[in-house]
Amino acid sequence: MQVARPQNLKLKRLLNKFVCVRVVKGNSLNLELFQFDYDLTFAAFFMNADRTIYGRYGTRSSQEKPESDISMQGLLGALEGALELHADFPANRKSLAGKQGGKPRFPNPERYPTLKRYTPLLNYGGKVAQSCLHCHMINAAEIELLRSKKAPLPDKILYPWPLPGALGLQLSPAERALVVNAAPASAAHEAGFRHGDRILSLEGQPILSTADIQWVLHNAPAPARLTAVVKRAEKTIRLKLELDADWRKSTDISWRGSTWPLRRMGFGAMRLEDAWDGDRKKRGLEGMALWVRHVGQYGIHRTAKDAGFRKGDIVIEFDGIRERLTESELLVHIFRKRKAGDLVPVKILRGDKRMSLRLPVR
Amino acid sequence: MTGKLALTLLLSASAFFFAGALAAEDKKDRDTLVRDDLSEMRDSDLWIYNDVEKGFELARKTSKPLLIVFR
Repeated sequence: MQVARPQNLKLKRLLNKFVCVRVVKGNSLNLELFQFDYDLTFAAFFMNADRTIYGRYGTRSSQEKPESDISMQGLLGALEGALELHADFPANRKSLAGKQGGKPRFPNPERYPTLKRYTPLLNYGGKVAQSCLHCHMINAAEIELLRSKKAPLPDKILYPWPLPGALGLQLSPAERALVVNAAPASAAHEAGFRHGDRILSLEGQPILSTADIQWVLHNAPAPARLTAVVKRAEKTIRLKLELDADWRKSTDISWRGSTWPLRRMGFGAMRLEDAWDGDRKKRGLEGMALWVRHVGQYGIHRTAKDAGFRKGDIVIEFDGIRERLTESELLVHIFRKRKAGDLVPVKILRGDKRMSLRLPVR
Repeated sequence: MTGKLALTLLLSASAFFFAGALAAEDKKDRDTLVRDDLSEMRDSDLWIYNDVEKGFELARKTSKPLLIVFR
């Protein structure tokens, strides 16, 4: 995103109306106050001095294009929206209460057992990059902790920060919560969302961005019934979203940095990728066909390697499942159905040869 | 550093987070890039660097809202 353009004069004008703070480290992060998608490359909060949160900004849906889900126009719209909320404060305080999260397990990331080596301050006099606690490590630390306690991983951990796409909603990254499409037969379509709707609130919370919608979804139960208020032409319309027990299931977690610990524990440190239709046709594959794109080689990352897996193998059956699943769906299956120490039967194709292997779950 | 340049740094595309965001900028090692970033941001008249509490304090004094960016 470039800002050195004439239109960015507007950005500069808007920023001068804020106190701007930039944080480049996760060390000593206040986890009660700053709850956001820790796998993001760019995240922002709009707040009042009394720590009331007006909104969040920052969304990501893929590894390849980390910032395709955000835009300068979208940020400008969110900044303007935050100023409107600030002007109405404190009369709107009640509607903003839900934007603050609950009490976290630890007050800051360094309290996690796997992050204890980090200190609150960066070591600018020494190896400063190594002293930086990256935010994606926070999710990973939570996963490691739950797994070490043999606790189940809740959906909120497995499918964090669901995108509006999980409801069938496609929003414009260049606008403030503007609906581009509601997929046919989706929860959003059934609720009555239409192209051109502007989402004003969700569960009573004012919406400045896609991240604000994700915040509501992140904290929503399954099943859930959510109330949205949208502006359509000059009308304000109330819509009811009915979400079933598996509504998070379409969420893609493969791009997330914090998914690597899941791969290490569930796949023996393999990264899998669903075969393209062309590959499937060429090889006569139906159902499950997951390319092994990466196999860890060292230390705790060599479980799959030791079990006999190689880069380039194609997984065609995993734990008795032959149906077509994405890597994300298969990971969730493992953590819902299997415990550490289990040996999972896996069938693969290596070239033209079919092989049976057994993969330990960690 | 001007606000515009600071924002360019903040919002320029990157596959990495925090210090990693600077890695592709040039051939400098990451430690140097992080230190350079600090030096440049110290002179910013727009951005407070790595000090959220200072931001809250200033917001109280000025009655402005806060924008807190994690990058």
